[in-house]
Amino acid sequence: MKNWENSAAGNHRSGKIPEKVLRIGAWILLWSSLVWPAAEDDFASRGASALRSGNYAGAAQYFESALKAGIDVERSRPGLLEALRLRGDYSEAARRLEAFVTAQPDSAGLHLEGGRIYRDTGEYAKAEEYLRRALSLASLRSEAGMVAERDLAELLWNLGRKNEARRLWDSLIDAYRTGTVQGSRRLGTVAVAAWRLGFVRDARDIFLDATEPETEPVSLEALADFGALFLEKYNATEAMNSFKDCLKINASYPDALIGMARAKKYENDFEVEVYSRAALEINPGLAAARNLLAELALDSEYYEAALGEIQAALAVNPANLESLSLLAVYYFIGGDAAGFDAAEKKILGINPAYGRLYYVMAENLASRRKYREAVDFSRKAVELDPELRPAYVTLGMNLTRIGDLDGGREAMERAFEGDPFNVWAANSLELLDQMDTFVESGSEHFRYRMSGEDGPVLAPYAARLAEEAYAKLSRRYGFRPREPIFIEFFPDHGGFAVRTLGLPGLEGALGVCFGQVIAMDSPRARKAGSFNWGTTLWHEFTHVITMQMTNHNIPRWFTEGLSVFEEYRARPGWGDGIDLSFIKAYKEGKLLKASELNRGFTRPESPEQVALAYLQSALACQWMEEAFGFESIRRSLLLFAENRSAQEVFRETLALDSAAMDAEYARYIDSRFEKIAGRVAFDARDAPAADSGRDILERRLENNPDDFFANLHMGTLLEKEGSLREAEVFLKKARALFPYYVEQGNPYQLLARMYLETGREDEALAQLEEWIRVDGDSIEPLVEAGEIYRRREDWVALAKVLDLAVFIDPYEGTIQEKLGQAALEAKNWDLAIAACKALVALNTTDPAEAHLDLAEAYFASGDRMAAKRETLRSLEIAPAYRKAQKLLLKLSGDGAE
Amino acid sequence: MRSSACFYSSPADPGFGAKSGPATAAASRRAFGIRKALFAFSLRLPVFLLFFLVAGPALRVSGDEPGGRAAILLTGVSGDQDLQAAYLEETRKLYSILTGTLGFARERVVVLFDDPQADPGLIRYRSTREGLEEACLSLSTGEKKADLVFVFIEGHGSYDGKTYKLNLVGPDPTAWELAAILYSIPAGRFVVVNATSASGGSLPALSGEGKIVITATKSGSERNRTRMGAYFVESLERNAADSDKDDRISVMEAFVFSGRKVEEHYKKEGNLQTEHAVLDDNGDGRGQSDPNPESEEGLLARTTFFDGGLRTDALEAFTPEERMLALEAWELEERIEALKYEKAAMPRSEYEKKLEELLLKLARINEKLGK
Repeated sequence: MKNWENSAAGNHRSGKIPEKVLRIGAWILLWSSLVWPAAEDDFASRGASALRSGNYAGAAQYFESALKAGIDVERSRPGLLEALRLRGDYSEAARRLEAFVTAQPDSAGLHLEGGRIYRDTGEYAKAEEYLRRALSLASLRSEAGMVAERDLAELLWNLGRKNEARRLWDSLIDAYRTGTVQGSRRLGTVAVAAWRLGFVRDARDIFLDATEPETEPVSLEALADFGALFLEKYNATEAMNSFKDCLKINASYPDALIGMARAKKYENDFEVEVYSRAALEINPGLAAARNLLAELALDSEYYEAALGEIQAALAVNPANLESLSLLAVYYFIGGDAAGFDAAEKKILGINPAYGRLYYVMAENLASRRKYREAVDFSRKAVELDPELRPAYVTLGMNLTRIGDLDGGREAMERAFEGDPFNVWAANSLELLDQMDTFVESGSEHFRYRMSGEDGPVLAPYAARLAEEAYAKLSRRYGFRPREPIFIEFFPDHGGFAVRTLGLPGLEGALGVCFGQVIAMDSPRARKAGSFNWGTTLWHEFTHVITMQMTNHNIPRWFTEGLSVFEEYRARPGWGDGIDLSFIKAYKEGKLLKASELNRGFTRPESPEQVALAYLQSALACQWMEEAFGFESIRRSLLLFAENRSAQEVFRETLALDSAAMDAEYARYIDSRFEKIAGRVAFDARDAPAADSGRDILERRLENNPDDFFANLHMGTLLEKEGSLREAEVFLKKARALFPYYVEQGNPYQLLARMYLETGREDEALAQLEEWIRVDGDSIEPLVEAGEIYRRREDWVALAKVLDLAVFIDPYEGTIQEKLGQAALEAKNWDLAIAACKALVALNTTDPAEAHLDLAEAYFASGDRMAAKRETLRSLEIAPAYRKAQKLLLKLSGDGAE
Repeated sequence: MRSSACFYSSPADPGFGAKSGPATAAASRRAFGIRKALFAFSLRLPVFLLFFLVAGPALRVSGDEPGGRAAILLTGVSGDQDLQAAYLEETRKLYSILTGTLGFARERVVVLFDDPQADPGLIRYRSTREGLEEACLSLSTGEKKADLVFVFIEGHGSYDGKTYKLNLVGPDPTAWELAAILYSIPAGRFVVVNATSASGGSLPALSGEGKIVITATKSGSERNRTRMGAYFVESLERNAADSDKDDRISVMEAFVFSGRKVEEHYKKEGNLQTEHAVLDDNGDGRGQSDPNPESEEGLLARTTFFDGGLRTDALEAFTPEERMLALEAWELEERIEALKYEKAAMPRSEYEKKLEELLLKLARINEKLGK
């Protein structure tokens, strides 16, 4: 038996099947079949062989030849119909079908194919008639009979006739129980029946037998169905293994290509489109592929493109329920109530219990960040079809996204009861259990949920920052969001990912906003100092404003752009900086146009493109404010709230159509970065080898004195050699040439170090401050500058830089300790209390002093009760601690204040 | 938490109780952290403390005629030059602290290192088994046995699942052999800090009555390079580990300090913590990472100090009236300690009320003494 566990992942990492390869493969097969004609009596076999290998055109030719020769007609007729159907030549297939059936009215195989042709074209009554006829004509437990029974059951299920479908599946199971069912394809039909009846483990076992490669040729249908089972259970890796096994035999097998595309959707992979288009190359009318492309277009907010795909699918099958559901989504998003009603009516006319309509609505609206509507539609879905388990997951996920954790848990439990393999439900329930242990705290407009370890350290700082963001941004945007706003900090990234998507992963993401709920990594979830949680919080809170202000109708790029743009304004150095990857993409002409920015988020070609999309979107917002004023941004948001399209909105607020906006944006980018980019030569990025370095650098500088890297490397080399005066010149020039460069060994860092070593403290401080202004993620300049301020007893400045450092590494005790002292000296009581509370929580090596510092902060802020409590904590640890005793006496009225 | 020194009937601190303590001024500074048990028996004591009271005199070093304090600073062979250089630097620092602020006699602090030429002025013996035997012998000669021997071991240790061995130049002694060599020195008390990798494997052999044993790892299976030794040295610098603000460092304070620093180190590096220090001072051969009264572990470590001061020295600087106040302060401190032990058994509000009363009284007395 095949070892399925071992076949996971690794085998298929290189995975994608580019459409070109598929096309070439098909042509080679066709060509070879034409160059070496088969023996006449072998046409049908060759046709079957070509059909199995995916050479549908060749197969059709062979079968036609067999029919012309009158050889093996009974095999060739259904073979030809299948080849025509798989190529999407439905009209020809239907025409030939009628002729074949007239000639051979008792053929189960012909009727089975007929049923499939009419199923694919949406003539369901005819499809049923053909399948029933196939079933009655087929001999007991024959392959054609069992496949017809399975297909008929699927058809009836889709039409809402579930009891009839169940009887057919039961019949397949009964057949299996006799112990006489053998053969890959027949076993595959039984496995599907078991799956549909809810016997998932049995289904898996039967599929394993059905796809055992050691016996007869494995059924492609069985492999594809097995993959679909895995996919339904959210095991994309195993699903892909099964689909790939199928594609190894037949690279053009539509169900496997569609399966791969769906599996890739789990990874948000751009290959979804590659596989969908590969399937359409084979069958341009394949509704499943059109539907996937429509969903992608909806995700990317390319609504007209989505409509095009939906219409193409409906042109082949006007009764395709999935396509009609997507049409309903399209109308709903566009605010076309009549269109939506018509689509809904048509769907429910075909299947009055088609809860999946509302599930598709919910899923697509959640992708559009419309979580409340997703909740409403999920509820309708399960009301109409209580067996639709995925809809409970969607309901649960979206309830938790709008802050209803109890409701979310209940829905997830329903999902899990019905389907214990549902990893989303299992993960989410586990996460909700973990969240039960979280501590909750609050401030005026927010509620905070975080782990017990994070609580005492993060909560005071989070409250300060969140309330500041609320005050500043609600004033600036003239909008007060719904309250309370929940902010959740997850102590492990896996928890955050499950909160966001129901599955682990999402490595690059730090935070997410659902409109009224923010979920983010706690600083504990990542390596100390590796990200700035303050700027993440500010970013996500900006989403709260822009999403709520627009009723969640804002384009993805615009909400992300505004969030990064507001980070820039919040603190020096916050927000995505101009880095080398941006300059490189600019130089290589790889930046996205303004009209393409959404694609950078929804269908990125690489992880780097996502990062660029954030930065580019922020620059677009910056350009809008600089060129048109902030009011243009605010008005745009108000127009988006009316569900207007992006083109309409920006035509009104910027007076630019899409092309003009692209052009103006490009001009803005050029004006800012053309010169800088000219100074960054990437071929000089790596420092030359130490021994030959100087000569090489001198030559480079002779040729181009404004070469950033040459100046930087020369400065670095001279600094190492101890030629500080000379080094200074080159490093200063490097800094001026590309001031955004903040990687290790940047000019600010080297100059500051040199100045400190030579006692030029003012100049060192200036470099550090400059560095802070362009880099919000590095703790080094903050700590270094802090040391200088501490020596100068400039407590206000020290508190300011260390307050920033806490957003990078709140768990560093020495930072909290120094911040507490500086804030006390600077009479910044709130900050002092936050720092001292954190220090107490950090299990410092000097807990008595930490409690005393906190007591002093409370005392200074006028909170005598808290001051006394903390003084007593200090003295409990160190009863003879004189400083604490003195404060206790003051608090007790014994000492002078 | 401090607990038990107050229950000794001897006027001397049971720690590194040599007469050659710090000068009177220093002792005077410590006056308000003094623990002494003049009133101890008037208190209600938990059972385990009664046990300790009984056991106390047996564990206590002679306070009347102390034979002084000695130290062995032993660095084995790590096989890494950079690491050896770091260990040497650490040893220099520790030697300087011991012979400086902590008042150890220079001739009673013996340094062993793999290469004596690395610092001939400091290193007295090569770190071989024979060198260690000679060092121990040198500290054993004398008319009186030592009050306390402090042993600090750095370097590489190995553990094969059964036996711990300390890597020295030449044959490596097992933990049992190491214990036999070290404990050949006649002394009332040993503080052994084994900071090598896998040092947890040496704990059962080093454990015993009157032995405070700290190992950098909880077992022999933690075999990576350890950081605890460096932080232990840091704990003694400038009273860094003095968490109860009495201007003295107990072995327990140094243990807690270095443990927290190790934890911080790994967190900061973003690495999994591969060493977990443990302490054993009740001779049961089982180390505890969080020694506390409930586990009957840590009592000796709390009352053993690295300095050699005598608490009663402080009284000499006082007027008769101040002496009375000081004694009253000591009693209050002891009552506070006793109250802390009863905390779990009483309502929180009652505990806090009593604690506040006692702390306030103590503060008022010290305010008078501070004038």
